[in-house]
Amino acid sequence: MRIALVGQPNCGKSALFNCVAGYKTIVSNFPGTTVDFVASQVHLNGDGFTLVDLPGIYSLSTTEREEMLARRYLIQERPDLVINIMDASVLSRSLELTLELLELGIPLVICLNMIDEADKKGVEIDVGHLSQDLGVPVIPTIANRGQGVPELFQSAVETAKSGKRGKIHSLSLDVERAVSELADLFGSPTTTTLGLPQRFLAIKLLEEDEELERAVKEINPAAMGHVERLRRVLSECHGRPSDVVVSSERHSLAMNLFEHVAKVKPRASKPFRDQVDKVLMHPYLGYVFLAGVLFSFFWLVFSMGKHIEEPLLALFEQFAAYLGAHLSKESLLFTVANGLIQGLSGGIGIVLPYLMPFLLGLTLLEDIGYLPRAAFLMDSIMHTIGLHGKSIIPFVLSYGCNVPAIMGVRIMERSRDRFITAVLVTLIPCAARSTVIFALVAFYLGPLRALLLYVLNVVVIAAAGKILTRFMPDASSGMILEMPSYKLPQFSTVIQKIWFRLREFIFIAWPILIVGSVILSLLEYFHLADRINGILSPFTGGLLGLPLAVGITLIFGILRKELTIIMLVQALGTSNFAAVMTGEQMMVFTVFSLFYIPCLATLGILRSTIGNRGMLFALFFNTAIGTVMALAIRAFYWLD
Amino acid sequence: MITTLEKVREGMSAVVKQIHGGHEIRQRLGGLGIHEDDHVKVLRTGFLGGPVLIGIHGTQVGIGQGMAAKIEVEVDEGK
Repeated sequence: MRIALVGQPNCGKSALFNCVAGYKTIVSNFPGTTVDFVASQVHLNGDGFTLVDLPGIYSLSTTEREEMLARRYLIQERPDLVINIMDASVLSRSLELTLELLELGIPLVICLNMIDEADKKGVEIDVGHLSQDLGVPVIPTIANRGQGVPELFQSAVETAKSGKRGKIHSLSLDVERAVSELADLFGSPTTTTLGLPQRFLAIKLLEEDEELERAVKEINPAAMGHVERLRRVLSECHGRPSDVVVSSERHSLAMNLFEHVAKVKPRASKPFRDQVDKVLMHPYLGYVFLAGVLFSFFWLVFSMGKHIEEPLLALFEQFAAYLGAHLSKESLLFTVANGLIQGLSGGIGIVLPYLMPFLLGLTLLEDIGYLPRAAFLMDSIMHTIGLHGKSIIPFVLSYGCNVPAIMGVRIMERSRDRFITAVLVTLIPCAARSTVIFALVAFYLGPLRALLLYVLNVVVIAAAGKILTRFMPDASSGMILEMPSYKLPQFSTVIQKIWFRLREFIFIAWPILIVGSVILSLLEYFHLADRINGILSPFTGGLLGLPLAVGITLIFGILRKELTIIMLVQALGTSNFAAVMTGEQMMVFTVFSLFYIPCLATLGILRSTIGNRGMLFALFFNTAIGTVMALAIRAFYWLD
Repeated sequence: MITTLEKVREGMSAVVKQIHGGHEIRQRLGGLGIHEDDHVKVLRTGFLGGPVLIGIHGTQVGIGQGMAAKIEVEVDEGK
């Protein structure tokens, strides 16, 4: 038995999913999709079923890619039951999606979630009447506290077994006439091929649904003439396009249902959120507060990370030294073991110190409901590089570590925005790359030059953003974003979310890091460093004018950026870089290491976030930028 | 007075008259419960080209300037 969770964004769908995650045995990501629809095997009171968590959708008429995926799942995979989660505090709007879902003819149960929020807003809902009007069970819940959830699933399993469908609501007479004429016309061959009820297909075609129109053109091209005729009839009668006629019908139907089942009491006091928003979304104070939040978030991740990372890494070094004392340093076994330790410590050095505080902070901000406010405030600024407000969070966090920042890209709904932000984020100097700037440029050439590099970096990112958005223009017509009310985060939800995200790093990015680390140790073991320096020499020596020995440090830098400086000491045989490198070489080396290939952990998480091709693109794009910028620095010195 | 949403003063109420810009925009706005003849209240006006915040059907929605300019509204003069 397959049960799909469907609801509008922010209706508490994930809270519900996490609630039953306790009963879960297997979790798998759907293959081949960039959006994470998560399926989970659930056992409850002796019944087993697959629970599918679909991306949030506002409506079944959509052109958004992510929403399309959810719709396709419903149409093509036809689950045995849909649990329609509704935010009770915005019942009238949620009902529009419910009316569409009923047309699909899949057995349905309604989860009337956040009933406490509705209560606070003064919205009183008559559950019995709602259930009667829709012809489906309605279970009130407070999912983040687990309230009503067992009853919900019990009702879901019973309804799925009985196969009972809800009521279909009639539209006004002339629309209904057009719908039934079209529905009759399609008959069963067309609808069986598409796996859709005739009525649903007819309504969607009158709403000018592009995907279904394409499908019908293939199967039954003659029908499209009738569709166009009926669209014209409707739009002439009502004086507006036929899609507006149908959606307005559904809207007023939803409003009528709402008035029938809900009472709204006037409220005496100003709601809490309005008072908070007065400050947090104030045209000036809002920015001061945002800067404070971002700064303290960055400070938390960065400072906490550093304090934990150093002793942790020291521990691993001790262990490596212990191994070195007992195994022969020249042996293959030691080389492999040392590579493994490096890889393991690299993972732990990122996970514990940086990822945990980051995920904690992000989850808290997300669950409280601050992120949409930050996005709202930053929207006009981020627009200058073709992105929306939401991308500000990953950008700021990237200065600590790129890995959690790329994970933070998931808060954006559109794959285009995720892609561009993920690629741009890798250009930001993380804490490790900052050590190169500090150790080489700030120390030998002065802090002013170092500061200049940070400014240059921001300029380059803005330019890269311009280039990327030119090739991937913003198809959306701008931001449209719901501002949820503030909520107190639930401890268990926060922990579960952190684990969900952490697991991804542990199982995807970490293995890559470990394997890469072993390979690099082997390179050293077989004395391939000189060979590599030789291979890279036309680039490092010829093009960039650097000492040939730096070749291998750049390769190690890919493993972990922290290794760049350490390996530079080893490769050049001194920590007094001024003795072996000119100022120009230091600048060129630093600028190139600032931009070129991101570290393996970043590549790993990029791969799982924007796919193989996206990762390869970032790899080449960043290296190209690094090369161009390094050459620009050379040219600058040459002119000087 | 007929105008577009991004020009409405803070605190004013208005009725949506028409949504310009085609099918896709109508669908996105419709999904968030914004249809023709709906009443909206402007809670924050766009600051430095930023989005407009409106209250509609008991929720709050931020709408970018570009999209707000496509929403034609009639301002309630009384409020």
